[in-house]
Amino acid sequence: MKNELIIDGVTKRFGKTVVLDGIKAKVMPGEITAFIGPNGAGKTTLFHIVSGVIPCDSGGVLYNGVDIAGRPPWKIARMGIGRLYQDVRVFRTLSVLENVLLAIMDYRESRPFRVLLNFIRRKKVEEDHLNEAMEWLSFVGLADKAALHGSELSRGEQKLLALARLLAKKYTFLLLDEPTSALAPAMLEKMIRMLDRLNREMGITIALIEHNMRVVAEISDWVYFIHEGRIAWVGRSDHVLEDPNVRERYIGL
Amino acid sequence: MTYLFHLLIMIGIYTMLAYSLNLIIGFGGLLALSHGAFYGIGAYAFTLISMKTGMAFLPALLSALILTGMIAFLISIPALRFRGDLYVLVTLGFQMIIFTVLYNWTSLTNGSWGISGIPRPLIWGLRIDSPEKFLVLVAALNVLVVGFLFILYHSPYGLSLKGLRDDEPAAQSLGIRPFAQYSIAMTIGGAIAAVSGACFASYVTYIDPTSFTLQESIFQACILLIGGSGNRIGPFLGVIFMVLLPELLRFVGLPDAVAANTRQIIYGLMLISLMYWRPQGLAGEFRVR
Amino acid sequence: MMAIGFGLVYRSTRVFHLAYGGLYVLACYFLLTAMNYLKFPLASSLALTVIGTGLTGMLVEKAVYLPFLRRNASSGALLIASLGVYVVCENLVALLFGNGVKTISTGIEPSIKLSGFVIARLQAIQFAVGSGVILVVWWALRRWTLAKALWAMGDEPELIPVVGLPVKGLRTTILAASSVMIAVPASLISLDMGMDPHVGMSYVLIAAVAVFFGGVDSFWGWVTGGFGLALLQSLVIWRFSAQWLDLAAFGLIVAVLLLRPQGLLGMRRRIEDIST
Repeated sequence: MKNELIIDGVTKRFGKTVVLDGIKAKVMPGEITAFIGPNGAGKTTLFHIVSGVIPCDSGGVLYNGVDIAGRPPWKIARMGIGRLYQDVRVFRTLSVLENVLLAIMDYRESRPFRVLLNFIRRKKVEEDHLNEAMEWLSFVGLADKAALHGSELSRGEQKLLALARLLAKKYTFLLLDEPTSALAPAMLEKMIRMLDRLNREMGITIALIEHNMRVVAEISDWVYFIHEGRIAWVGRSDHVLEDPNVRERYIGL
Repeated sequence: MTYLFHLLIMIGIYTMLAYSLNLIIGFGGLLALSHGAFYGIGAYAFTLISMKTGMAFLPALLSALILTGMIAFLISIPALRFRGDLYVLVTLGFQMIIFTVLYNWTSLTNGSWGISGIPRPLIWGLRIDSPEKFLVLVAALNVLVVGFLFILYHSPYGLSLKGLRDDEPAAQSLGIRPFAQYSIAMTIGGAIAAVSGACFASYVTYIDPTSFTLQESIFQACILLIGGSGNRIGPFLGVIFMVLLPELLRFVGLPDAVAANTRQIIYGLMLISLMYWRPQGLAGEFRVR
Repeated sequence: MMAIGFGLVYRSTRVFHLAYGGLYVLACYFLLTAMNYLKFPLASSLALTVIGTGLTGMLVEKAVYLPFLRRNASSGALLIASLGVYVVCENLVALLFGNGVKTISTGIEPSIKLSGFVIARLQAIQFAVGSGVILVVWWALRRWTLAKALWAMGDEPELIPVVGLPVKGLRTTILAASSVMIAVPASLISLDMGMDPHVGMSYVLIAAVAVFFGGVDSFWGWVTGGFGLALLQSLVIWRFSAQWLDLAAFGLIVAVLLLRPQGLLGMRRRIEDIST
């Protein structure tokens, strides 16, 4: 199925520690699926494996029916999966606009041969890209900061920028690692609304890692609770807070 | 007056080296210490091709360029498995390996005796046999080479390199393939170093391996570290500084015996202070990571 | 020994200590000064050299590396600053003593015959001292909590102040220790073969190759690397000729990095650790 991610029995060890033990999960297209769990449970590692940053020891990852386990991150990105890192990662010395431009440009355009060809033909690809970039920046509310360097933005603004980049790439599947962490309340609201909008209006499938249970409850459809490398609970988001396991181990109530 | 021409010609040769290395260090963020080796391969390739086949300057230059580019590409394959300190170590390793080969493969390169009697360039029937004419040649090549590089710098390609430099995982998440972009930079960089090598060979009419040592690679890296990299003005400033400093010392009256060492000490001190106060160099954009 | 010194600094402070090459040269010339100019006898000259080099190493740390650390400088910047220090040392020495090769006469020439092998007495001393030092350092690293702290610093530098250990003190100690370590081979080699100001780079690179060859994370890796490299070099000289030494050393490191990047005895590291 399109935009469907199946995590099939993924296991990962670091040295002697088993970080992920036979994780089976499914992210359904058009839904927001949240992965919750205590720190160190392996959620980010799982995302690393799905997005290709680290290999898994056993098990598979299927996207759109294709096994993507073991592929390099750039290849997975080109298949349509966008990744937001926990530590944001914007291009610090590039301007906000350039950050988005880099996302808009198709990788084919950044080959020197094409560059020379365009130069000789005096092709003006610039303008279209610039307009589109500004559109995305407006969408996330950063249009007035287009000229600033990536490093000059606040943490929350950097997250929005990273999001804008992913959107500009027209990814239909997003892996977001703690998109709302370390955000001030106003920015938090903005982000929640944005994610909701992306999913409802634009049909983007989202897999989230979240610690903020309010976010989980409000916008996600399906929840996986990961504890010590295993799926300890799975179900609809309305029910997750009711489960005694989750409450005891995670929320502490 | 001839001496002035000599200086300008050397500046011209080093400018092409600096701007090509700038693509790798300044835009790519990779501290490559192998450029001296490619300078050398280019010089030797050009020399051997033109002296053994009698080719005119431009075709020989082109052949040397292509050959050096291919070798640079081959070296990029292992080198780009690493970043940071290990990348430096691997490129340094290749520099040393190539030097040793140039020095010891006497049947091909004549080893430490070098190759002399390299003919002055013959371009479309015109022989470049005076400093003035050579300067015009070097200037023309500079316009072509640096112009080409500037186009790359300000293109989507250049932007993708800068993105990779700033944050490789983030760039990958946008679908940019690190190996492709980086190895293209190293290949183009190496190929252009060959152009400088060919100019050097046909200017001095004698080459030997001692011009292409680790010292030379470090010197070229210093041009970018001190002058600045990642933009258009830094490399040139670096070239001016590094090429003119020895002249300045001589002007001040420092005896030659002392000058060489003093110059190096100044380089060393500048490196330390710049890395501390101004890691982007005098006029650069890229701060060493 | 050089591998150990380099490895200590690299593993714990993460600095690619190119200045080490400079310290090597300084050590040689301390010895030269002591013996030829100040006319001290061998033993005290050696002592003087060791102390002098150790102090200089500490000076490098205090004057150069520490300030960079305070500024949160990147590892690339430190590598280059270290290179700068090397260049300054190399050329200061050259300015003072000239660029040529110098030798020290000592009177340790006679050889010892050891069941068929002819070993020069000097080389016997080298071997003895080398083994001794290796054992001492190994013992120190195992027993002293101080030493364990040094190791931990390489793993997680930010944790050290949190745990209450003095970062500065540790770093200074490491630099001092490694500088002392390099004074020994520097002295021994220069007694054997003479010295010139420009050899420092080769030696520090050899040390680096040995460390990476044997494994950055393992003390015995450094030792094995050192021995392995020396063995390789001897083989090369024996079968081919001295010309190909550099090729062998650097070919080795490229091969090792490609085939087994953690070195012979190293551990596989987490992906996050390999990042720069």
